[in-house]
Amino acid sequence: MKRISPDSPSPQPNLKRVKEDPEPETGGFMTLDENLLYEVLKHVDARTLAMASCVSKLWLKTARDERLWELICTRHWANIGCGTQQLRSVVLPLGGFRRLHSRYLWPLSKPQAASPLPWAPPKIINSKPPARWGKDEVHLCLSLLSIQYYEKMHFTSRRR
Amino acid sequence: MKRDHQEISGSGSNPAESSSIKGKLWEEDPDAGGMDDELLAVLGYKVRSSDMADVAQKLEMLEKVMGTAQEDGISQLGDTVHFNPSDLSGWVQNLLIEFNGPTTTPDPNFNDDSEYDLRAIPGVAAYPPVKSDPGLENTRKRAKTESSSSSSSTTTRPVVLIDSQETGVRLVHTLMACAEAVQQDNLKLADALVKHIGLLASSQTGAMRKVATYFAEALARRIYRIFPPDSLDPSYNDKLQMHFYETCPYLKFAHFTANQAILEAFSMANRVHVIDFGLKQGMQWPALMQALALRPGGPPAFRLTGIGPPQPDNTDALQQVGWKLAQLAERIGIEFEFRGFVANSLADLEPEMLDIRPPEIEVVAVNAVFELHPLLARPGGIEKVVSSIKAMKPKIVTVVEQEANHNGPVFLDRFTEALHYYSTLFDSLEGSGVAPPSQDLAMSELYLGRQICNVVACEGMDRVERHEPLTQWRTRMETAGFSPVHLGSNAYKQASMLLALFASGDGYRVEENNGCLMLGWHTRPLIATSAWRLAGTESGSELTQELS
Repeated sequence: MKRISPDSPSPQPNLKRVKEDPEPETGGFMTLDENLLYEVLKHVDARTLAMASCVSKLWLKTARDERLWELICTRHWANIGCGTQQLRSVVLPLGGFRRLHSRYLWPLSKPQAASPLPWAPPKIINSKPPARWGKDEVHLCLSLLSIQYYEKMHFTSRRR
Repeated sequence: MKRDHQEISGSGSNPAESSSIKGKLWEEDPDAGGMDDELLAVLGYKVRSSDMADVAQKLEMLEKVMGTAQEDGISQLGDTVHFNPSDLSGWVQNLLIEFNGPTTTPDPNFNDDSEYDLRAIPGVAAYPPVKSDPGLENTRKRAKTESSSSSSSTTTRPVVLIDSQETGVRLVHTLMACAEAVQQDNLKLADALVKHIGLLASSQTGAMRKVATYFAEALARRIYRIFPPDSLDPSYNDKLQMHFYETCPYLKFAHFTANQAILEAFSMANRVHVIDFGLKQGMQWPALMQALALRPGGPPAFRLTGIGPPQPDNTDALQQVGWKLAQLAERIGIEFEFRGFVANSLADLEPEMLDIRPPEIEVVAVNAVFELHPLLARPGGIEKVVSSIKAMKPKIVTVVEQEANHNGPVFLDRFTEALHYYSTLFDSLEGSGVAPPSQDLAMSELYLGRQICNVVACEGMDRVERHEPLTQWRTRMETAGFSPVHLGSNAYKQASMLLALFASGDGYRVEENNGCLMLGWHTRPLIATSAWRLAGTESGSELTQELS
């Protein structure tokens, strides 16, 4: 059983049972098969996933998979009533879950430097915010994603 | 700035004026530390460290005065006799006196008027007479010495004020005095005051300076009747508004809150139709389309009718925006239809042109962001438009307007209101943490500056920025047969979150006011969103006659 990121602050659930080794391993987890890596990364939190993309080209490619970020986004957000397919068909064309998370969901969940939002419960100020997003947060972030997509589309073509 | 070397006399023979000036300067700071600035001393100037700020200020003033007095001849410098020019402070003082001298003599009336009238204007517009005398005295002492003030009483000019805060107060007073003069049609006085404002404004920094400059320009235009070039280029205004959109949250707030109301009205419909009275760049609609796409049960068919002014170069701006929105709709899987209508004024619109389908087939929303107040310039304009809206049978009408009273009958009142409103607005731009002065910020300020110009300088049909407060819009809508729709708490929450995300300045406040939402800076609300439905529709009671 292999562990990843031993210095990761987040407690990791036990890894799933490793599939039989397709080929003999010569060195640590750097030679992890892509699929295996994907399976493992399904269980990490956002911070770890982002850090994982800095390890190597293979890891970068895998950690950027939209499905992983979809998991990160939807794991902790309130049910907004639409189906998964429906959500994907909107978010993916507008920029994807990774962008949704890094640009909007993540900044929204960070403890704000300015005066705290009046209705929000006081957030735990340490390295790992619980990152629970209510319906309004989700809707706001989705709206902002769509605006940003439109702006890019609008202005790049105007320059032609 | 040239130093005139030939004129250096020895240490001794000083004429009374400059020696007494020097004497006074030294006397005024007996224990100022006595240390001359080392760096300047190396260059041969003797300036006390304590005087440095003073000298710098005066040099700045001198530069400005020199700039404005170019016609009078820089030769003044050559004629000036300098004694002990290493005394930088005294030398600058001299020069300032010299400059102020010539500008008064050719036109003594100019000087007399302003001095006389600044004090004589009754009321609170000018600074209250009780305070002015000691105030003037204080500034004289700080800025000039007694000798210079005695030598020419006509040279006590506010140019040499050092205290910027007091200048700020005086600036506001002068602005008000000028407006009052305009109100009383005393254009000569107003002219004199406007020039004062320019000088005073240049001593300020930041928001105050910009606001004062715009108001001064607008007043000058009103006085000289040089009206602003007809704002015939709507695409220019659109571009400015885009910058305004990026810099501060007001427009985003407007779009988000209006969209929330529209979404709720559309909740059960299969086909929806939005009529946007001012399409511009269409920035409001991507978010609505996205929200419709994620509706549980799938999106409705979305139809957008965009209305806009004619473009000077005949490009079809509306179609371009419609095309972009269509691309977006296709990407997220919404059935989309777009029509653009060009109209000089909303009052020219006839509802039949819009091809509204019956309410069983499609649900209609009308959206007007800052589009209703220009109609108040034409008699009958707003009534026509409101009746057109009713004929469209909308399920919801969203109205966003500036929360200000810039449409009173009395010019002075409008001016005062506008001064407060735009000062607050500029403050919020300043405080919103757009740290490096970016192009966005400059363009946003220009956008607001044009509004200021319109409110102050224009009249009649040209004055289109006829902002009215929410209470007046409420009365108008209710009289016309609409009932208010309360914006829900999720609109409030989203608005607050939006501010937290975008406005790094924490001075913004969202307020709820009888079901309407207002965004303001600190205690002053600046824009208001309200939603309306036709009276008698929701409650299920019979349709009233207005609907027929």
